[in-house]
Amino acid sequence: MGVINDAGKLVLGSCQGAGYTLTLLYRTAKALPHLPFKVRFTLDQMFAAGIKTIPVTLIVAVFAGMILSLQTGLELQKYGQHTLIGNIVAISMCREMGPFITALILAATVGSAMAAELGTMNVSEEIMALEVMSIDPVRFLVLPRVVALTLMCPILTILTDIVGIAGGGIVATTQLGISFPYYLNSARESLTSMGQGLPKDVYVGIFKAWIFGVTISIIGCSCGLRARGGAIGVGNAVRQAVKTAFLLIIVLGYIVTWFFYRLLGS
Amino acid sequence: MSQPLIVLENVYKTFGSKKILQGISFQVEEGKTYVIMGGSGTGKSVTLKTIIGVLKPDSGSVRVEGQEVPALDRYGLMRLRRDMGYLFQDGALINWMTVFDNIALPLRENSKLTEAEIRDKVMDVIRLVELEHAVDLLPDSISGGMIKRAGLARALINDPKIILYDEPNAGLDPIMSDTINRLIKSVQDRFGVTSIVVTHKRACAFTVGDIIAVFDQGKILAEGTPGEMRNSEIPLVRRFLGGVVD
Repeated sequence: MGVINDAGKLVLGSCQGAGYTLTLLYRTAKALPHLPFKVRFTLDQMFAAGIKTIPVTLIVAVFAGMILSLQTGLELQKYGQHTLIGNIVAISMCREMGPFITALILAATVGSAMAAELGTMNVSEEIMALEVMSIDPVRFLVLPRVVALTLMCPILTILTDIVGIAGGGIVATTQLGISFPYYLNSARESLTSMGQGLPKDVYVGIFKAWIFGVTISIIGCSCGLRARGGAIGVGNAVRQAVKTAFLLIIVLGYIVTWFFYRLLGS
Repeated sequence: MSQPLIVLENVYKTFGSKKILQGISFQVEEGKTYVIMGGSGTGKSVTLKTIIGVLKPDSGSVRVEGQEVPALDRYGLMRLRRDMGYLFQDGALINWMTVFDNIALPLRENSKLTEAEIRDKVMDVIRLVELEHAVDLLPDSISGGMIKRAGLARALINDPKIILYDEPNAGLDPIMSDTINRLIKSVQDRFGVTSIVVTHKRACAFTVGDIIAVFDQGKILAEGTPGEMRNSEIPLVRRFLGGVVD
């Protein structure tokens, strides 16, 4: 009976958490008209969420591009197809790896920080203080954070794509014997082969990054606002925020890919 | 006799299986100060949170300015709370904002005052609580007494009709505690606010209270003027309020 009881509590808690998060997302969307009054806080959050994470994002991106180029290039070399490495790295980075890597870094750094900040404010009654001062915590705390990450995630993803492709180019040039101009040309051709203004691989990746930005920030804020019970509660909120964001990044990444490349066709 | 501004009737509140409030009824007249004393876990802070609408009672009536608080929606509560100030036990200052910005926050968020007008108003209350030297400091770099005074300044900034004080002297040395008591008294005298003060300190109760109530196990054990309470024969009341004022 104890196991069933615990399982029931877990399911109920998860449903309540999901309901709270969706309600928070709705309330944040409703608060958007107040964004012009929150420009300063939003810019602060954009700096914290975006600019401060650029170094780690770029380092991870360049090495991810290099690993992808080396691993794939060595296999292709066996069949004499290593000249395709530019196409493969560019498509992989723009479609999947760029948004995915950026989202994981942001979930681990910014999403967790949001949960910790709001969780600490919650357990020290600062959120309640805002409420009794007739200040809506969603408008004051959540809106700037969600908007900041929603804008910064796609921007960082574009940077990750560019740096990842460049990292792949370094390996292609130094390890696979492909000239850098040839590599870049094949990367560009693979992305623009459809003849569209903005390549589909790029805009789908940016759309994914936008979805991930909303997801990471709203999960971080939701977990923080539900934190209870002092330092342990804040720790649990951070863990929950990172865990849930990672799961949703994977699941939503698949759904977006399925929607654009399977349902709408490639 | 002035009108009651706050009226509680038969208020019950439980958390899980724990009964916190068990039929609390009292009223506070306009301009008066009602002091709540009692042991830990007797429902004093829960009463304050029920009055300001952070907690909903399981049953009973909580009326503030004639409005039934539990029945108000979010926007109704926000409107009502603009007439109320709340001093939290630990100050609950926003930790990444300076003392000045903390006090200015309700005006910046809820009023159409210019920055210059906000500055003037904030400096007025800062002078009242004697915190001129701490305006640019963050909450984690000031003392407990300064945090309480900053919290009081923030509670006063909207010119509230009602102020709720949750343990305004908790964790303070006797001198600072006395300073806070005098500050609360001077706020009452100058602005004529209606107040409810939750405290463990006899000195605070006798300095600021018009009516003192002692809570026990979620009920009001005794209620009366400071003089009546000082002469009470009820043992628990005597333990809280009898003898020498500390």
